[in-house]
Amino acid sequence: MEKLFKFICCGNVDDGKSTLIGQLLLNSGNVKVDQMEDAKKASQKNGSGVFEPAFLLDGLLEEREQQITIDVAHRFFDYDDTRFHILDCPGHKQYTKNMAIAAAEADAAVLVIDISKGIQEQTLKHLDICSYFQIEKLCICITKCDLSSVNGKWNDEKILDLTEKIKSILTKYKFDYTIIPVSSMQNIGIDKVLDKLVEYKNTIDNQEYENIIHIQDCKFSNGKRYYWVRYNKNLDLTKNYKLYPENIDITIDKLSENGVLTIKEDMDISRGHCIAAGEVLVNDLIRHYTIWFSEPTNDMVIKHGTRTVKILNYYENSFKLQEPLIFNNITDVKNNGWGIIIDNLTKKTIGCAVFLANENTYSSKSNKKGNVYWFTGLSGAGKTTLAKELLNSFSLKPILLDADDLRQGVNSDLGYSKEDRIKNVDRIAHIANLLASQGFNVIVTCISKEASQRARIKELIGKTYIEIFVDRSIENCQKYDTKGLYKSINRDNMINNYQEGSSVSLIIDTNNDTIEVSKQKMLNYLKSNNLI
Amino acid sequence: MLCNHLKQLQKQSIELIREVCATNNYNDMVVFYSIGKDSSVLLDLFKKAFYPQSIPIKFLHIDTGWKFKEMYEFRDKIAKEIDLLVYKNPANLNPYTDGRRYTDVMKTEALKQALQKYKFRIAFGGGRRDEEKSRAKERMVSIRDEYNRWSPRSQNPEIPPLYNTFLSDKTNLRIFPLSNWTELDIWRYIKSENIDVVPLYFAKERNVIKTQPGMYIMSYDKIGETKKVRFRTLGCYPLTGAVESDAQNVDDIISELEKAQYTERITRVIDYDTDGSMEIKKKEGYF
Repeated sequence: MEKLFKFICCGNVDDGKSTLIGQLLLNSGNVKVDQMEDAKKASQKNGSGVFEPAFLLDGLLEEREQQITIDVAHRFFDYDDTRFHILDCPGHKQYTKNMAIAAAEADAAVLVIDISKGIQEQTLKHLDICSYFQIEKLCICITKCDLSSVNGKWNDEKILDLTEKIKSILTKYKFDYTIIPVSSMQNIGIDKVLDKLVEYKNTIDNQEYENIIHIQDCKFSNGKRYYWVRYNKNLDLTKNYKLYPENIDITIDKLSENGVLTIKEDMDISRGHCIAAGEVLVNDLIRHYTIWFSEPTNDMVIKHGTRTVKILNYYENSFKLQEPLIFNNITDVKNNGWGIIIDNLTKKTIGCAVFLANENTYSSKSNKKGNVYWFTGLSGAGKTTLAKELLNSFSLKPILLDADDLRQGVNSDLGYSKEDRIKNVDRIAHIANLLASQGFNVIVTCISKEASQRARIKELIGKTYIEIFVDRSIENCQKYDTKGLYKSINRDNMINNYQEGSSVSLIIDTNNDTIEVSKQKMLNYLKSNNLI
Repeated sequence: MLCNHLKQLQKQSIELIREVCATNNYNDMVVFYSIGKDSSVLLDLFKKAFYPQSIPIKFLHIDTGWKFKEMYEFRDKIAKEIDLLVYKNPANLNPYTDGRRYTDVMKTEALKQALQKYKFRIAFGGGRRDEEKSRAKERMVSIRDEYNRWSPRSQNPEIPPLYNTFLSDKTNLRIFPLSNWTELDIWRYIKSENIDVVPLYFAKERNVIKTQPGMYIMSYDKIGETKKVRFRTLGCYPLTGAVESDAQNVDDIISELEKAQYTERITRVIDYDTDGSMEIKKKEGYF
């Protein structure tokens, strides 16, 4: 056969997935006599007695008894010179994770919607998951149309109504889709679904190249090195390849049919290396969307390509790794854009992370240092207010270091003498620099009125230091003195003598500008400097 | 020349074999060798995976003492090219008199005893998803507990080609590189790669006893009749059915299978005795 085509069948529980697949198997001529006899027996034992195509599917005893699909089943049928590999997904909410893993490896999706139930929560969830895993082709089947018949005829009005609803929901996705009303029990519309699948598989381009090779292992024979490799799509070996994470040129000598690679250079390459032509990202800080199969734990690793790397810090939409991964944004190269998360203790797979590295801040240049947005200015000038506005302008939330917060903890031993104030600022700068060095964006709010000290901080942090001076007169600050600081005698020192300096990147005048205008000015600055 | 989809299946299988081998110790691993056609293909894939080196992993045959004599001859020939262990449960039950206990003790129990004896924790097998309904639900890298039992509810989510091939203190692994192959794929591969299989697969005049319409079992005694039959599956000869056939070579078998009305499962007693029997056996530790 010429092709191998994988598709999932998904949708809400009881919307008729198994029946539809059963009928697809029958229509494509892929059911043997003994399988048919088994299904008939099961229909009698567990079903209504009438032969139900669904009984060609469910495999576990529990599934047949409860008549639900718990886990993905793999079925194959041969049709039109193609091996169709069906991943039959459970529809029940409790088993969404099983649907998600099937979606990750599928080329297309068949989504069923019961005409009498319409669009359900699970329908939407499944659409989201298909979209996350970059499934482009979507065949939506409105099922059980025979059951809503009026006077023996399908209820066209109801079908049209649901079709319109589906269309309006799909406007927010990028699917190439079709909607087919069917009755699996009466075998109406199933051939159209089969035709559609044939059409979809014909669009799969066997000539598509990805040019990404993951090294599985290094072997020796007769003193010569060769490598076991793993790759997803065809490789164009005439391209110029580079070795990652080192990012150096490499010349491929030969790649055998059985996946044995030799290279011309005499280099020490081992498992976890990647050889690619075209852009790949190398980073230990990755923005992600993760589907969790069970709760995150304290000791997790992520496996991607042939690397297995410890997760140092896990945040809802990003994680920091012990070593970089070599990957792509899932929207650029689907096969290289996700990884599995494994609990290090039990070795169970507990999550599937989709990589979303499309943000400038963490892009292709490896190990890029994060930015430090240093808000300086008098107390009451509006630093914290503006910092919080800025905080929400990033899709990957930066870390906020507020001098007032730090004085409650790490800096609680410091008073307000000149010496202590300088120490206070130095410590904050040190923490900000540490975080930025590990790739995080940091927002600092700190009076830091000494110009010479800010110049030193700029030198310490380097190019990624962005100083925003929030300029408001003492009179105005006192007017807005929400913290009551200006009434405090102890802090008298700090309100005087703000020293403007040459380290400043942007001045925001809060005497005259509203918060909204100030925010806009900040955003304009960030955009024009390609920071967001 | 391999057709496109077989090339992809071969690539998937070899990548899986290597991934398991690259992330674990060879001493922990074994390849379950049943002498049948799937084992022949699995052996071929292991050779390719390790070429130009020889296979550094041991093979294991669980003998019941009741295999076809042609299987023993074939096994002894293959044993010259691989490192083959043979294990037989000393309980020595008899398929005629011990009924279902025979399979439990001589196959499932024996397999578990052998794994324990040699301290194997990762076992490769030639199981295919199209063979049986519960196999269709099993992962390619299948977690078994410390007693080698399968629990369908606690399977790892698996997204090829990223396999979780790591062992924990409390788990063993079964690896099924042929999961996505069908019976026809196996034969087409045998043809294109010129793989040697037990001659029982090819039709020949044989001395058999009729058990039900169209189904025969081998007779090594004088009783029985002569029929031109072949075996679609191989196991213990009293439990394996032969079918009438004219398929004398691999090409004939392929064209016979393309028209076949029944799956190969009907020739296997172990799969066919009760509803869900394979699932139950897997839960007990069988392949």
